[in-house]
Amino acid sequence: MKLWWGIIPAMIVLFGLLGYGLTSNPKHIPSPLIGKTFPQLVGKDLTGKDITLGNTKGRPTIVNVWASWCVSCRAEHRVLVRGAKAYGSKVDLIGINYKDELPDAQRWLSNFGDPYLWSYQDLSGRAGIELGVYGVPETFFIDAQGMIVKKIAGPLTDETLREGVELITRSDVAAAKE
Amino acid sequence: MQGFSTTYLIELGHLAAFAALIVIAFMAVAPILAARLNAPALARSGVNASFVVLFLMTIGGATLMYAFIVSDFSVKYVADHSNTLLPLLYKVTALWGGHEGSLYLWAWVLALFTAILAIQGRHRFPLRLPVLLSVQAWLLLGFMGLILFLSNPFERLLPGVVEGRDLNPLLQDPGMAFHPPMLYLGYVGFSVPFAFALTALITRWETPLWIGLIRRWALFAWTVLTIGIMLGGWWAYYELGWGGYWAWDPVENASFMPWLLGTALIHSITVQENRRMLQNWNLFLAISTFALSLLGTFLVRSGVLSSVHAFAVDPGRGLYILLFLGAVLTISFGLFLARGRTDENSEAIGSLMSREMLFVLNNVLFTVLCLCVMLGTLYPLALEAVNGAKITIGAPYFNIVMVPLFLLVILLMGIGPATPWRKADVNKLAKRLAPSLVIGVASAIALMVFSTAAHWTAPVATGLVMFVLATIVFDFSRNAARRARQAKESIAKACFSMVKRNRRYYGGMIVHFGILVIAAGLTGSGLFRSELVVVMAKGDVIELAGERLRFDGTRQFKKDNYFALQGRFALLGTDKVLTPERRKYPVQEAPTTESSIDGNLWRDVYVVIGEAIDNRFSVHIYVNPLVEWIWYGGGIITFGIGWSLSQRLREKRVAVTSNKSMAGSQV
Amino acid sequence: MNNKFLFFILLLSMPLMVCAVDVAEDPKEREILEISKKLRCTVCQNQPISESRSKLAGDMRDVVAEQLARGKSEQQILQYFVERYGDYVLIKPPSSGNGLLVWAFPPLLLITALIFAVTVMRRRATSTPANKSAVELSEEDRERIQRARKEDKE
Repeated sequence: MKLWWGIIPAMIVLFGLLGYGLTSNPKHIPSPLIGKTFPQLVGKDLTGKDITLGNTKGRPTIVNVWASWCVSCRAEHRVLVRGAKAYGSKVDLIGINYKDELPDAQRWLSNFGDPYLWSYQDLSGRAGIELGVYGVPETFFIDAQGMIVKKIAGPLTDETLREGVELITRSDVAAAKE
Repeated sequence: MQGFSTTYLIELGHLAAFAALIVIAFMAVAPILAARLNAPALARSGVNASFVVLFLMTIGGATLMYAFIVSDFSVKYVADHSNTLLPLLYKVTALWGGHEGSLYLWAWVLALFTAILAIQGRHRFPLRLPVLLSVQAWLLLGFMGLILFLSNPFERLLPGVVEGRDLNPLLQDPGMAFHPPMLYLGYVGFSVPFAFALTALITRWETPLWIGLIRRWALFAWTVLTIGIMLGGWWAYYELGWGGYWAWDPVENASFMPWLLGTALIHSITVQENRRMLQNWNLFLAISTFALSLLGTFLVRSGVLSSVHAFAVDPGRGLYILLFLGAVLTISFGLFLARGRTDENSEAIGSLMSREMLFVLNNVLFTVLCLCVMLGTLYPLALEAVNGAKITIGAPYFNIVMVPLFLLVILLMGIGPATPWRKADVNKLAKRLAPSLVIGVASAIALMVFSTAAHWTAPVATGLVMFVLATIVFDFSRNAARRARQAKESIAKACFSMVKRNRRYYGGMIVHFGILVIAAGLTGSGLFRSELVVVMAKGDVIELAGERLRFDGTRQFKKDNYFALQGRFALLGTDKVLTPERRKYPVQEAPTTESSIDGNLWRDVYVVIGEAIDNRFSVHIYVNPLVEWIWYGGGIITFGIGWSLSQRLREKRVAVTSNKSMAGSQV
Repeated sequence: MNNKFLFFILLLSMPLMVCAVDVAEDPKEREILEISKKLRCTVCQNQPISESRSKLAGDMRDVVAEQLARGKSEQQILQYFVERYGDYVLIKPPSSGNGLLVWAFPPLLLITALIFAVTVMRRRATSTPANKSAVELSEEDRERIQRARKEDKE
């Protein structure tokens, strides 16, 4: 009979786990790229000019993955437009136009505003895979040394954008002190 | 079009459901009230209440079904899951195509079984029946509460829409149409042993007195659950297009866990009946099997796990179900631990080498199997809770872990029936099993010699299956020979009369035979499958595992509510043509692929047509040996259980002088 | 021979010649498939990229194909995805680190359970109850029940 009492700890663990499960998001994947250097990706921007993504030139950078066909990007876009104005002096905002046709992307930016310094054209989605992108929108926060400090999957809010900016500019300050 | 009558009709159903809720609440508290107020009639009223509940819930269900049939899109659930172009059969089965409706079906089956229990128990165990019905009523209360307040299928969409959103194309299929009802019959069927266990704990009802009553319920529940799982596997096989039938997906695992413990339960009940032991195991298994049914419900509907089959995510509902599950388990296991003392009347294990001990091992093995499935399903969640990391536990893990355990089960299936009760002479047992063992080993070696399968499980599985088959054949012939000798009948007549007389025993034998057939099918299609992917132009011929297919081009057409691109493949050497399709359902905008299968007893040729590349097509071909044996095995099992259950129920009440209670001997 | 007749025969046999083109699987496609079976589609619910029809799964398959063409080994390709998506992208959990416990548990569980079962049962078997309870069925009752059972069997 004594052995059956093992049911109690088993149940506690099980329910604790399931309760936790209700709060977690099964679709979210933590990124293994955090703490690693942002890769250099050679390609073209939306005007057709040759550029290298990842060449941050010592500035804290935010790389935002977006697409004209992505509905959540629309909501996030206003946050980015505000953010570009507020933090543009401290950080560079660069876009990755993910699996999007060029005319659609350009039309979208002209309709809703272009907060990006420039956007990398990722028609094939290879850059996305190179960065472990699994959905749109996603945002990478990169410090002045080119290290990925944080990644947010899903639309940004003013709050999360501000936190991210603080994170990468703080590192910048710390590095400048050295 | 919606008319006056349909608008009011669905509200009638809604009202009926609410009325049912009230009656259920009464049924839940009736025994308690009766005890307090000392009114035995109140306790007995539970029986009538159960009929009223079933009646009311049937009205509710009927109005929902009517709404589907006439395409009343003022009902939100109908608008979400149906469409005027949907064929009638699927309009009906769409009732359980979504979360709200399937939950209602769950509850309706529960109400049905409660009413049946009321009829069964009215005369057989009238004293305990009120508590039993009360337990069922509390379960019903939980479900109807969830349905009426958080997942209401009667919710209106006023003004109604002109056209519905159509049923998920994957569900527009005969196999998928009947898979959920079968599963629910199984899940809810296990609520009966559960209710009996709780009633026994609450009213201190000695196990031997009620264990025989639940035997048939448990067997019934197990059988329909088996059929439900098989239907799901069969559907996945021909519908999903990846040539397999079981992916160890969390929702599949949710149905498999109660099946595993249910298997342990139906065997453990036998021991209780024969030898008056394993009472604690039986209580534990009766509670846990149903608990797993509830857990499955939680996993599928709460969004906790990601799965291909999961219903739409809703953590609110998930929380309710989790709390409900928590309450049920706390009370049940609490009672079990508090009152589930080993019955003084029960016997102890005499010897380690005995059939009783092997049954204990059987219980242990199936519990371990169940825990392993649970581990694999919940581990990603646990890992995430501990350190935030995410991993995937897919089919390869489960195959590696579960297959050796299943092989042990098959071994037990061969040794167990040959082992006598109480105490077995090991030498005698070994001598009895030796010929079968030789056959098993020889088969394993033969397979290793003649086949190219690299994996070690193939010869081991073959050897074990043949070993058990040999034990069954020897056992059967031995019995037939003995009967022929004793009753002076011919062998043939002896076989027939023997099987006809002792249906329970030979039904069980047939079921075990069915399991062997399934095991053979799983081994063949799992380890000896051939597959390839090839790009074909019209006229190309491809060869795989001795089968030759010629691609004869494609054609396009429109049917019902979809557009199709169909490829035609001639199976050379026969006059069969395989016609896999790629379908597009405009309303749901979800493309589906329909595989095409040519199946015979020895193998399935399975073709899926893929992307077009210029004017050629990517084609995926499988040859699955023995896969049909899995479905035939399921049929054999069903027949075996049916045969076993058809043993005429005759109650013999034998007056026992040495005890106050009546000992019943139920055949 | 009559040229027209010959020409006619040739013309008739053309369809036959077209029909008998044996094709075979491209081993490169095969390799792509085998590796794809080991990678999980990161936007799907529990499917490998070999089965999923989502766009990302298609892109991932293309990446596998490209890397194979460049001469990468299966191990390197899997490693590439793990570096970017984590262990989550592998269908089979890793046998060390995060996955160690999930592989170790089943055999440990089985052995523990069997040991428990045998020891508990052995303990019960050796300690026979001194006083077999008063609710034993008497011999007479046993015989009655036996008889009743025998009657039922007939």
